[in-house]
Amino acid sequence: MVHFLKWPTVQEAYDVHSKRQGNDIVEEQFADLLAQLAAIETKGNLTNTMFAEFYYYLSIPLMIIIHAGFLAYEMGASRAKNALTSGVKNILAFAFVIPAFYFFGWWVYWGFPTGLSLSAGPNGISGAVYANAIAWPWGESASYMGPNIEDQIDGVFWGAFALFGATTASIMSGALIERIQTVGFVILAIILGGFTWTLAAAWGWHSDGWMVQSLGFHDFGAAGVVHVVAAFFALGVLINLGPRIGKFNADGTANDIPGHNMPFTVTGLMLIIVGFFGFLMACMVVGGEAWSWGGNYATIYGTPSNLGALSFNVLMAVGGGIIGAWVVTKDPFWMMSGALAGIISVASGLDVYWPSLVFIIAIGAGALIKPAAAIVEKAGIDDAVGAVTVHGTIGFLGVVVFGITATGYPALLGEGAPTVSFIGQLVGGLVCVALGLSNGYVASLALKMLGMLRVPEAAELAGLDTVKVPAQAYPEGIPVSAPPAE
Amino acid sequence: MGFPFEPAAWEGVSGPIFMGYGSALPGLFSVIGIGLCFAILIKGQMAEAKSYKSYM
Repeated sequence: MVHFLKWPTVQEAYDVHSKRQGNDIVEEQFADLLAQLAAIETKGNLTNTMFAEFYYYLSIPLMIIIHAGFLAYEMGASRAKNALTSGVKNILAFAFVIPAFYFFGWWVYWGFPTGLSLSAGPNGISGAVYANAIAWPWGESASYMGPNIEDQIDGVFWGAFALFGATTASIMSGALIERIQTVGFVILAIILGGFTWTLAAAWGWHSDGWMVQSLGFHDFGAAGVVHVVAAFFALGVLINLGPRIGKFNADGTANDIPGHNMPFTVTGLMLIIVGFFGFLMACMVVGGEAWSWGGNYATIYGTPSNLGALSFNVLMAVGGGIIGAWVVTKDPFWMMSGALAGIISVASGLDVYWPSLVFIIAIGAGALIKPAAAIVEKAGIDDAVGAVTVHGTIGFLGVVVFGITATGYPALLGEGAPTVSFIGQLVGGLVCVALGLSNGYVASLALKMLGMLRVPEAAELAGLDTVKVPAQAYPEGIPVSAPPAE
Repeated sequence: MGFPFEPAAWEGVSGPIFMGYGSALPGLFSVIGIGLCFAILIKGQMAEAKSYKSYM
């Protein structure tokens, strides 16, 4: 076929020109729209990242409320002659655990997930090489450990974890009041808050953790890796520390040593509950950020959850725990401890529990704490505030109960992920018990041999505030207040 | 220590902005901080032991 070139008419040329112009306009508008969309997306991502930063930052002061609660709780549970010493001890635990977690704790969390081999795990965010790259406050990794305007997550995430560490020290602190030396206690707090709990968290609270990968261990709210570890660490210390003078009679029966200010103690416990909302929100990964579940919140294992789950389950646990303890004890101290026990008993599965089931478990936990504390006491252990029971016994039972109720749930994000099982939770819980108990026992035994564990008998009898605190808790006593105005 | 970027202007700056960035100073300060913790605990232990002396 032969084609002849045919020139367009003027009209045809005009039409083609107009069409091209129209296309150009549409293309320009389209490009403009794409640019606007990209700008909106950038702003959206930035807003999300800033929200995540603010979210974790907010969890930090809320967790400091836990510390304020423990401070009040311990001082109130002490006799007046030891009130300030208990306060000093608690404040120092906070002060030393934070730098300990900065200088080496953060490295432990990222270095040890696969065990003591320090090798990288399947997700590639663990092991010595990775920890060296992000968690030492010197060298190249220092850029992640200080002000960095391109990194809005590491600092606040570190802060939240540092406060978890401080919480473990606080849990231990109350059990040891009225007879432990201050510096000896601070050393124990550094070991627990900087190393022991962090090791447990690396193993059971990290996507590369060997307990997670091989046992299907799931512990959303850290019942095992925080509460069990801290409580059994305290038990290890208590074995070497011994009971307060006057706690046990010659025949082995126990005497009650009431604190000097029950209202202060109960208020402190309520503050701990408030702080727990910060603790538990920090257990969540913010939606839209790395390792979150699509655009939604996720657990530290990458599995889906949200703040609504916490709202339902934490509140039901508080209610159940108080009721359970009230039924058995009628005592406000145990009732508020019951609230704590209620939360701890279901902490492993706050992400997936049904609220009514939470309520039932929490009632059981609240009812159990006083009888369980009596067993500890019968064994000759003087746990002044019931920490071993509330955090240890209940935490362990909570981890195991979750293994029964949540069998078959994927413990981790991803295809072929290990599933929750009774055996996995039982073994994981026992690992937490063994880790805490062994570390606490060995560290306190070393301090005992160095003469740094227990205060002298005469000092304990005189009252520790008189011995070493240059201030007086109640310089005017606790007088009856002046009569009201007419 | 000085501003870690040349020229001394915030325009175009990104990443770490802390004092001593890129030098050995962050590590040095960290070592000093750790050393202070040890020194304070040792000193604290000595003071505590002294306070118990009259109760031994």
